[in-house]
Amino acid sequence: MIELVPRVVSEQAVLAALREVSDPELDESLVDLGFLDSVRVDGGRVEVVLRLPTFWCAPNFAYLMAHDVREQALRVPGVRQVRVVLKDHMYADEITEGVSANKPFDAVFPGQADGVDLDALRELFRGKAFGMRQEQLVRFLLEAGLTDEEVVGLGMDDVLDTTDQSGLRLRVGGAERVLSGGAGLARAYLARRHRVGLDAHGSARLVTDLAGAPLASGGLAAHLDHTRRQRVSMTFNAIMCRGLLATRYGLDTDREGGASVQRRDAT
Amino acid sequence: MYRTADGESIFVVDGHVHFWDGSPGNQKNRYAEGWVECFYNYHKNLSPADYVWPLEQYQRYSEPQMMKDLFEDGYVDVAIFQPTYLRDFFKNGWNTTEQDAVLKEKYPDKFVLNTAWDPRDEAAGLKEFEEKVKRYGIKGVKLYSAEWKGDSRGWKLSDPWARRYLDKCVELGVMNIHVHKGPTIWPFNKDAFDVADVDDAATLYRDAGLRFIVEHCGLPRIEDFCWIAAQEPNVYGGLAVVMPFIHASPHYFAEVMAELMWWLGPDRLLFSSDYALWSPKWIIDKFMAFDFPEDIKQQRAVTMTLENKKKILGLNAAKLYELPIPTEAGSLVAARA
Repeated sequence: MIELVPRVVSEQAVLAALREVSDPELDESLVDLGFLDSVRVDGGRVEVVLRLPTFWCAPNFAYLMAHDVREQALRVPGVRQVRVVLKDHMYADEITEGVSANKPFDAVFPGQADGVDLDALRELFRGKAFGMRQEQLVRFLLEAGLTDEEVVGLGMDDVLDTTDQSGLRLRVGGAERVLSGGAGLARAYLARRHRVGLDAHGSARLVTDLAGAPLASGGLAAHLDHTRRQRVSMTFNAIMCRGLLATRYGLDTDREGGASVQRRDAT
Repeated sequence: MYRTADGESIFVVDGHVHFWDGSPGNQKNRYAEGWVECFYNYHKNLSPADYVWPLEQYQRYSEPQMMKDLFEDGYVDVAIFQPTYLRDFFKNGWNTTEQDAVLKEKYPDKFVLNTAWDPRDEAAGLKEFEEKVKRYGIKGVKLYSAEWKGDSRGWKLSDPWARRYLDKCVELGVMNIHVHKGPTIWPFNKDAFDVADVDDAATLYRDAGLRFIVEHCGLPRIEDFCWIAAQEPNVYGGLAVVMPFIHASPHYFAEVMAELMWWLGPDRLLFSSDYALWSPKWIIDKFMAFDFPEDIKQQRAVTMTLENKKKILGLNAAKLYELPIPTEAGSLVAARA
C-alpha cells in the first residue's frame, strides 16, 4: 500500500493548521493573537512554542490551548509526534509535559479541576463566542436596513453566498440582496453556529438563541443587549491580552487590532 | 479636588490604592517575580508613555512620590487603601494593613484604611480581624479570593468560614466588602472570575446592610457582573483597571462604561486608579473630558453628565465611607438633601 504522506512536513503546513486554534476566552486565532512563539519541524516531529500575555494566565485555558495545538498539529499529514512547549508561565513545565504526553488536565493538576472539566469550559466559551459573533452580524444587518422582523425571519437557506468578494448575498423577503462588507461577519458567525451544534437545515432560522430557539421580532433588542455584553467582555479581554503580550515581548501591534469588525459595524 | 474650567469643584475619592513592596529583597520565590513582572506590564501597557516608571521605582516607590502623585498632582482628596497580603510570595507581604497604616497614621484625613481577611485562617484570623478593626477603626475590607495559601488555590464567599467572617463584618460595622474579581490571572476553576459567589452573599447580607464592591467589575466576565449587579442593589462596581482603558482603547472604555451605566447607573460606580498600577492625574483629566461617542449614544440611552462624573469620582465612595465633603464640592449633595 502506498503511503500518501509527504516525506517532508513544511512549517507552513503546520502554521496553517494552527491558525484554526483559538483562544476560547477571546475567540481569536492563537496565530493572530501572537501566542505562537515558534514552530520547528524536524522530519515528522514538530515542536511548537507558545507564549502568553502573563505569567499567571489561567492554567485551564492555557492547557486547553496547548492541547488544541497538539491535536491540530497532529492532523497535518506526515506529523507523527508533537511537543508543545509553554514558556514563561507559572506552570510552564507541568503544562508542557502534560500536554505533550496527552494527559488530561486533572491528571496533571489533581484536585484543582474541582469537578468542572475542560470540555465544559470549552462549551461555555463556545456559547459566548456564538453570542458575540451573532451580535456583530445582526447589528450589521440592522444597519444595512433590514427590519427586526426580517432579521429574525431569515432561514439558513436565505444565506446564499458568504464567499463573494462583493458582499454577503442574502434572500430577504423573497428578494436577493448583496450587502457589502458582511460576508466575513456571516462566515464567522456560521462557523460558531456550527460549532455549538445548532440545526443546519435550510429551514432552520439563522438567528436563534443558544439553544436554537427562534426569536420574536419584538425580542430582538433585548436579545442583543445580552449578546452585546458578551462581546464587550470578550473584546475588552482581547485588547488587554494583546497589549500585555506586546508589552511583555516588545512586539508591535495594533492595540485595537481585534476590533476591526466592531469598528466597521459601528460606522 | 478637581476644578473644572467653570470653577466647579469636584471631590475625588480614589477607591483603590496600594503602598506595596515588590522589591527583590521582599520576594520569596519565582511567583513573586512573576507577580511583579505581570503588574509592571499592566502599568506599561495601559499608561501614557510619560507616566511609565522604571521597574525599580515601580517595585518600591517612596512615600513622597505617592503623596505627590495622589494628592498634589492627582486631584485626590481621599484615597482608600486596599491591602493584598500574598504572604506565600512576599516575605513581609505585598501590601499589608500594617504597611498602609504607617501612612494612615501620618495623614489621617487623606486615607481610608481597609484591611483584609482570609476564611482559611479560620478562628485565629477572625480574632486578628476583630483586633485590627478595633485598632484602626476599619470600615471596609478587600478580599482576594484567588490568593494561594499552602496547597489551596483560592476560596469562595460561599465557604462556611467566609460566612462567619461576613457575620463578623456585620457585627463590627465593617459594611464595605471589596471583592477582587479581576483580570485573567491564575485561577483553576476555583474560578476567581466567577462572580456567582458575590450574588449569593449580596442576597444573603442585603438586609444586614453589607455592600459588595466588585473590584475591576469582574473584568473578564463583565456580562456576568452586570447581570448580578442589576439584580442586587447592594452590589457596586469598582473601576480599577477599567479606568485606564480610557487612554489605551477609548472606544472600548466607552462601551464598557455604557454597559455599566446602563445596568448599574451612576450611583453604584466608584472611581479607582489602582495606584501605583496607574496614576490618577491622567485618568481624571481624560475622564473629565470624556463623553460617549455617537454610535454608543445611539445604541444605549446613557449620558455622562457632570453630575454623573461627580458621583463616580467621589460622591458615591464618600457615601459608603461617610466621608465629609467640603461645602464647595457639595452642591449635588445639598441639592438632593
